[in-house]
This record gives sequence, structure tokens and C-alpha cells, in this order.
Amino acid sequence: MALPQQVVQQLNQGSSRSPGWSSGIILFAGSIFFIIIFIYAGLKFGYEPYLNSQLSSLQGQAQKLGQSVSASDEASLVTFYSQISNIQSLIKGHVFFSQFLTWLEQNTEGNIYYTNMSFASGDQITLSGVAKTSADITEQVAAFEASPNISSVTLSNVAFSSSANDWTFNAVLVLNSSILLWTPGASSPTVPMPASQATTPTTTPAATSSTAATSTASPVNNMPIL
Amino acid sequence: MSVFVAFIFIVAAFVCFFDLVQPTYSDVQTLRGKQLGEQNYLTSQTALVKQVQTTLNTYQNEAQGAANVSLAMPSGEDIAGALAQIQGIATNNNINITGVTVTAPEIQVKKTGTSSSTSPIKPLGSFAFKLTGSGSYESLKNFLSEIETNVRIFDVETFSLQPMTVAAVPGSKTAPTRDAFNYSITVDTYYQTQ
Repeated sequence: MALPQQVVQQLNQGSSRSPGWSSGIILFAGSIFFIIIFIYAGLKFGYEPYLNSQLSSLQGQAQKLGQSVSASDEASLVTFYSQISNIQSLIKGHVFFSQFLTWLEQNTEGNIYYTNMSFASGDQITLSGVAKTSADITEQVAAFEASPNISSVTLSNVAFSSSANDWTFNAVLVLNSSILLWTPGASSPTVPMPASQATTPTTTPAATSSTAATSTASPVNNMPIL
Repeated sequence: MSVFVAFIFIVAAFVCFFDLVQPTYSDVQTLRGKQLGEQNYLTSQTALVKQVQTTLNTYQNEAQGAANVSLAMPSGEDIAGALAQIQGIATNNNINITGVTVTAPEIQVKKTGTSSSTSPIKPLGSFAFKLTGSGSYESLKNFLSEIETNVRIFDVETFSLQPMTVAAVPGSKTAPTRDAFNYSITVDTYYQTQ
């Protein structure tokens, strides 16, 4: 029995599609393969050398940049920076002992004078003094204690001298750092010195102004305060 | 046959992808990382060098300022210079210096608190002058004041003051003189180490 004409046509069409399908799959697989090869070649022989050249160029620029500041300039700048930084640190702790002397003159009772003074340990003053009466010593110690510049007062060796008809005493004062350190605005601490006067020191005029003595003439040596 | 050829292509594509493309891509990524790192480094270095050059220009133009800084903090001990300044101040204030002792220079680390292996700041050097002498109270006070405000930094470390005593009659008991004192002062001064 012969097949119907319609079925024969369908079979013929199906067999004619088969070679197209196989070439399509080869084309698809081949395309993937060649695209991957193309990507590899692009990365390996195009982008990677480009990146390497860019990297070399950047490294060269960085090296050139490093040489743009000479070693001597670099050293002098580091030294200058160190000087500024160290001066800044030193100024914060710079001791102005003469401020304390001025303060002592202004805070000493009229009937008291000092015979010895020493400063050590950064904040400790040892005084030996003479007073007319024991009440003067008491007033003096009270004045020290009341001052915010003194953190502690130790009184010792209070004795009456019958030959001189006065009282002697020793006092140890522990200072607050505020009285020894320079405070901005209090006075100008430095004056630049011309190089030509390197051997002649300079000072601020304000710093040399004397403070009037507050005590009366001493029977011993007529010292203003001491 | 065509399916077999397609299969071969697919397998070859996979092999190429995993054996060639992926390692190369990884290398390229590494290179890009390096390049970006170098780029950032170069940008920061360029800014830094520009800043350094600006500072250098300022430093070179401000020669007087730099000279003043060097007077306050000389590069090197300059003991003679410091001693000359002290003697000059003493002479200006009628202070009679009777003795000077200079201690050995030493490197100071604690005062700045910034010296470390990573800090570019060079440490300070310091040495002390132990002075003994005599003069009036006002002279001594002015001397101290000028020492403290001198362009080269001097820090008073110790200070002691006693009335000067003289014998009124040779062999008799000594008595304090009027407004004349013996003093002993220790001052520290500093220099920039190289």
C-alpha cells in the first residue's frame, strides 16, 4: 500500500532540514570556541601588555617624582620642621623664674625679708627669712597659703633671736606651674637677634623693667626683698 | 559527525576558558590592582611633593625666619655661642660671673614626647651651664629675666641666692653686705641634633 502523498512530502521536508540543523550546532559551538579564543588573545596580547606599560609608566613617574626633591632639601626641611616642633614643645614648658621673684616681692609682708633662697626640683622654693614679730610670720604664711600660685607651704625652724631682737624662719614653698610658665599675652618672650650680634644677647624691654621694692630698709643689709 | 565536531568545539571552548582565559583574567585583575595602587600612590605623592616644594619655597624665601629659628635652636651644640650670650647678658647687667661649668651634651627624648622610630622629628640635644657669681638683687633679676627671654632658649633649672658676706675687720665675724649677693644658677639650653 502506497503512502499518502502528504506523508511523503512531510518525510522529504524532514530529511532536507537535518543538514541545516547539524551545521547550525557546529556554527554555534565553533562561535563559542572562537569567541573564547578571541577573548583570551585580547587579554593576553592586548590588555595585559597595555596594563604592564601603564604600570611601568606610573612607576617611572613615581621615581622621577621622588627625585624632584633633592636629598639636601629634604634633610634641611626635616631639620627645620624638627626645630619648629621642638621649640614649640620647649616653649610650653619654658621656665620664667623671674616671674616668681616679682610675685614674691608683691606678696611679702612689710616686716619680713629673706636671707637665703633656693629653687630646685622644678617647683620647690626654699626660703630663709627674718621677721620683726611672730605675727608677721603667721601673716606671711597665711598670704602664701591664700595664693593660688602656691600649692603647699611648709614652715620650719621658727626661732626668736634675742641678740637681733627678731624672728627667723625657714619656709618651703611648692609652686604651681602657672607662676613659672609663660602665659601668652603676659609678655613677649623672645626677640629675634640679628646674626651680626650673635655674641651680644638681647632681651625684651618689658622683661627688664624692675619692680619696686615693697619692704622697708632692712637693719641687716638693706635688701629690697632679700 | 557534525554533533561530534560541535562537541569537540564545546570541549575545546571549555578547556580554553578554564586553562587560558581564567588565569589570564586573574593576572589582568592583579595588574589592574597594582595599577590602581600605583595611581593612588602617585596622586598622593604628587600632592605631597607639591606641598613639600611649596614649603621649601616658603622656607627659602623666609630666610630671616629660618635664621631666627636656628638662633633659638641651633643645629649643633654651639656651646661657645651659648656661653657668649650668657656672658653678654651678665656684662649688660653688671653681674660678675665667677665660675662656669658645662655639662656633657645629651639627647633629650622625654621633653618633646614625639621622638619615635616613625616620627620624622629629630630629637633634641641639651646641656647645662652651672653658673656662680655675684651682683645686686635688681641686676640679678634683670639677668634672669634676660636669660629667660633670650632668643636662644635657656631654662632655669636650679637657683640659689645668699647675701654676700664680708668681714668688717679682718679676722672678725663676717656680716652681710648691702644689696650684694652670691648666686648659683643652673640653666639648660638646647640644640637640634642632626
